Amino acid sequence: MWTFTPVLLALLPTLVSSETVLGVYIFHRHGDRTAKSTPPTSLTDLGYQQVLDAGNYFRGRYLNTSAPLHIAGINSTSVKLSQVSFSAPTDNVLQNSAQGFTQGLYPPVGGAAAAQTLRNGSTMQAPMNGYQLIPIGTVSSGAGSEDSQWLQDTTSCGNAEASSNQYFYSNEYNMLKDQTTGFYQGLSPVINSTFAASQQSYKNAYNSWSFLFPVEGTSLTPYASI
Amino acid sequence: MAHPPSSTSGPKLGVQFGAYGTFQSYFGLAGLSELSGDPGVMFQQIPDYASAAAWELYTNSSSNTSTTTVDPSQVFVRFLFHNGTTTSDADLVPYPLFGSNNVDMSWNDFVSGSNAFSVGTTEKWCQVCGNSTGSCAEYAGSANGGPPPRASNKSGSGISNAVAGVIGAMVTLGVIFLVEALVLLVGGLRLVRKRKGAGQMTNGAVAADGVKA
Repeated sequence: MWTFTPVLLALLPTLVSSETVLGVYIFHRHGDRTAKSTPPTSLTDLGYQQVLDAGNYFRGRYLNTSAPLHIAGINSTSVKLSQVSFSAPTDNVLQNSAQGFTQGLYPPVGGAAAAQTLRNGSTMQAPMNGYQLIPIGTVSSGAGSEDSQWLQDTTSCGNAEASSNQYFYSNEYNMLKDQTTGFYQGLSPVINSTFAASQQSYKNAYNSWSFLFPVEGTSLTPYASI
Repeated sequence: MAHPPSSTSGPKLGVQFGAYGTFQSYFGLAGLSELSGDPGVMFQQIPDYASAAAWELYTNSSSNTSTTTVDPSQVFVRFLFHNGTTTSDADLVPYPLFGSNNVDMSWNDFVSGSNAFSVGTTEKWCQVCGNSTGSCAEYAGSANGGPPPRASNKSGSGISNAVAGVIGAMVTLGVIFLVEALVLLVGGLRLVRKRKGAGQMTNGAVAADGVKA
């Protein structure tokens, strides 16, 4: 029996928006990892969950056929490798983050849904409950960035490294370093296992912070009274 | 002109993972760190774990995009970012690029804005970086051998503008893939392999040499 309502609902997306998303490019930071001061770094369970959640979000935003921003022609459930391109530098944390992300984007479809028929007529269930294998290409710059305390060093770009180093000759840097001397010396009891006296300064602001607070945004019980 | 896109042509979704430094380079170069108020402050800080930046390529054209070529003049780019893990409760937010007031930017404006700092070929990357060894060795003889970096202006304000462009080298590969990927998505454009001494460009296309992926 023909009904009016389904037809009206089918027209609704077109009436609301005439925008068609042709494609999307995403640049993504890795999930939570262990601190750089205790190498080698690795993606933590929290980090894995973060990129998985992000992948789920983007699936809802760009892949679901009913999504307003559905990318025209893209597969919603089973990945079509020619439609997607994932890449990360040669770095365990970044490669694993990318992999976790793809699993949020294209989760396992179940062994039966992805089953294939062999020539002899038998059915081959997709292994691992239909876990979708998605290659992560490598980017030539930034290798090992998550193990490196100085990111610029991993770009292999001479002038960029020189440029970053120029910062250490600037008034801005030297003033901040002097002003915060007392602060970093005060942190000594809790960072001196990893940072020598000469390293306890603004020069190592990021790394000493990430050493003390390896999980961003969570509160830790005090390591010691200073 | 170009081949009409079909549902099987080219990647429609490109995702690259990287470190916070690349985000910060892009924020600076694209004018995001200069935004007023909280956004500007956010774009001056280290982005949290699992932060995401997205460039959405879209058209308002009513033509059937799976069977016809999309006119580049009807294509737009929108930049969005979320600090930390993006979820439905913590959505992507659009921000204007290159000092514009509009989060919706025409494809042509996006390309010209990006070209101000993007590096489109391995040769240019070698030149900007001043590298002359390894994969840059083949370009070293042609006056791209890498003069010493220019000294920063000792104006006391930190990194001078003269070398600021060099920082862009850090984000070059990200931007190469970005523009390459977006160019491939637009049906009316086609990537042309740049040959030495005979650069060719199709209408509005960005020429890109084979960059190692």
